[in-house]
Amino acid sequence: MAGFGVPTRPEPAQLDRLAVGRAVSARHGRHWNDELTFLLAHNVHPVVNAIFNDSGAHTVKVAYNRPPGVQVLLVEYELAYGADESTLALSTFTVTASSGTVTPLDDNGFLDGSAEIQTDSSAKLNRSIFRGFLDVTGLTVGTTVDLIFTYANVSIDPEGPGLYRLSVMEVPLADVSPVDDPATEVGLEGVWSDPRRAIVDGDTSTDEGFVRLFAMLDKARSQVRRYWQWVTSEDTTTGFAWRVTATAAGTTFPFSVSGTARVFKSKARHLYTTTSMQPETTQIRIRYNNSGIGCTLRCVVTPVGGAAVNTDVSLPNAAASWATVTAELLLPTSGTGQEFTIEFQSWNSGAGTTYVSQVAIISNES
Amino acid sequence: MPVRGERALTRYIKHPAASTANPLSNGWALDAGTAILLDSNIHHLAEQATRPLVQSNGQGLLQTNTSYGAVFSNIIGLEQVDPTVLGWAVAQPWRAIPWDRNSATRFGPFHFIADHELASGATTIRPIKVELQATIHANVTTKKAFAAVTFTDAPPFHDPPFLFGETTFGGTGAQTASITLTSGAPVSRTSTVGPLRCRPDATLGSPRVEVVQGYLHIGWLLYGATAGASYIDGYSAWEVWS
Repeated sequence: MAGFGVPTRPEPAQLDRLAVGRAVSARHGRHWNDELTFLLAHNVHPVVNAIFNDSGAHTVKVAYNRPPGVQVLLVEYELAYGADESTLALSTFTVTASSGTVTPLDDNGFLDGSAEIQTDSSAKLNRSIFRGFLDVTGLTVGTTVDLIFTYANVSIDPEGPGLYRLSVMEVPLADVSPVDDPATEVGLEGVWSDPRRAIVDGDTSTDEGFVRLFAMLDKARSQVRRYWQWVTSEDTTTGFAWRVTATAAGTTFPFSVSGTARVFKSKARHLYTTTSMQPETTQIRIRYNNSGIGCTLRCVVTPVGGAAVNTDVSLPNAAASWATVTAELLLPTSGTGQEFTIEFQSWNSGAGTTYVSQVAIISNES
Repeated sequence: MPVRGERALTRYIKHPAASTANPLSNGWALDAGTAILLDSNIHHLAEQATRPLVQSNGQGLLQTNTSYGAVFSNIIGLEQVDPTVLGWAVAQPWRAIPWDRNSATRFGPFHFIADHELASGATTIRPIKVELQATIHANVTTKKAFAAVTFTDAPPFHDPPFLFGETTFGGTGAQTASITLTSGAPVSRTSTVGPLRCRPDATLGSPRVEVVQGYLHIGWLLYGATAGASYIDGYSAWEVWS
C-alpha cells in the first residue's frame, strides 16, 4: 500500500504565483491533488434524514448514487416507542440493494437481521438507536439504485413500535491509494509532480498525468452527488405511503394530516455562468403505485427573492405495481445566497389513489 | 488568502473531456494560463462545496401542553422539573426543553467539515441554517424554536451543545422559524466520538477515519393555558459560509 492521507479541508493557493507564459512549479501539482482528493473523498454527503410516525413493519427505499470516493455508508435508525412495557416488541432490521450488493460491517447484527432489536418505553429520555456501517463497493459508481431497508416485528405485538427515524451518511476516506489501484481509487500518485520526475500526459486509467488530473476534476464536478430526499414506507395497505386522492390541479402534496403545505429550503450549487446564473441540474426520482389513473407531481421551486417555476412530472398508470419515474429538475442559483424553496403539489387524472413512497432529488451534472 | 483559495472567475470553466487525446504532451511544462484555470476551477468547487443536510417532513400532531411544567412531565428522570425555578432556562438556555420526541427531533449523525475560517485563522465547522415549519394553535402563547449541534449522541439537555440558537415563532397558524448556527470556536478532529469505518478492509488504505461527527437537534417550546393541537410540519437544514 502506498497511499496518502486525505486532507480534511481545502489547501489554499494563490493565483498570482502563476505568471502567464511561464512554467508552473511542480509543487503546484501536489496542491491540485490534495484539493481534488478533499473534494472527492472528504467532502461527501448525507443521503437521507427521514422521520416516520408509523408503527409495525416497514420497507423503506432510499435512492443512492455512489460517487467514486465513497466505499462505506453509516446507517443509523431509531425505533418508535412502545405505548407501554407490554408493547416492547422485538424486531429485526435488514438492508439490501435493488441492484448490486451491499454488505453490513461492524453492525452487531443491527443491519443484517441477525440481532433482535427492542424499542424503549416512551417515558424514557433515552432512545433506542442502532447503527452500523454498510460496504457499498458492490454498487456501480454513477448508477442510481434503491437501498432497501426492511424493519419487521418478530414477536409480542405485530402492530407494535416501528421505525421513527432513518439516517444514511457517506463516510469519508482516511487515505487513498491510486498507485495500488488506479481504477477504483481517486486522486493521483502523490509524487507525480515531483520536479525530479518527467511531467507526463498519462491517461485516465493510470495513477498520474494531466489526463488523470482533468478526469479527477471532472469527477469532483459531476460525480459527487447532493441529495434532497423524502421517503416513507412502501406499502399500499397500512396507510404509511403518502396518498394522493385529489383531482384538482395545484393540490398540496399530502405529506401529513395538518394540511399545511410543506415548504423546504436549501442552497443550490452554482457552477457555470455569472450573468444568467445557470441553475443546478438535478434528477428527480419518484417511486409510486397507482392503478387505472395517472398522476401529476408538481415541483414548485422558487429562488429566494425571485419568481416560482413549476416542473410537472407525470406518474403514468402503474397497473397496481410500484414504479419509478425520473425527470430533470433545475434548481435556481439566482436567489439570495443561492437559496431556494421547494414545495410539492399533486393530483390524479381521475378517481382513485396514487401512493408515493420516495421523492428524491439528486444532483446530475453532465 | 481564503482557505478555499482564490478564483480567477466566480464560476467553473468547462474543459474538454479528459482523454488520451489531451493536447498536453509528455515532458512539456504546463503553462501558467492553463494552471490558473485549473486552480480557479478547483477553488470554485471548494467554494460551492456546502451541503444540504436535512429535508424532512415533520412528525405531525404534537402532544398539547397547557403549562411549562407539562413539557417536562412523564419523562423518567425529569418528572416535575421546573427549569424556570431552577434557573436553567436563563443560565443554560439549551435546557429550556427536555429534547424528547414531544419537544425535539435529532438528525444525523453528520460528518461535519471544519473548513470555515475564523478571524484567528483557525477553522471550524461550516455555519448551518435551520428552518422549522409548524402549524401552531391559536391559543399557544409561548412559541419558541431551538437548534443545536452536539458532538455526542446525548441530547443537549445533558450535553452542552457546541452550537446553539433559539428564536420565537412570529405568530400562530402556519409559521416558519429560522435559526443560523455559527461557531466562533475552532474545532478539530479530537472532538469526535470515535473513528468511523470507511473501507471494507485495509488492502488499499486505513479502514477507519476520524472525523468531526455530531448531531443536529431541532426543538420547540409550544404551550398555552387553553392551547389545542399544534403540528410540526417540516425541517430544512443546509450549510452556508455566512
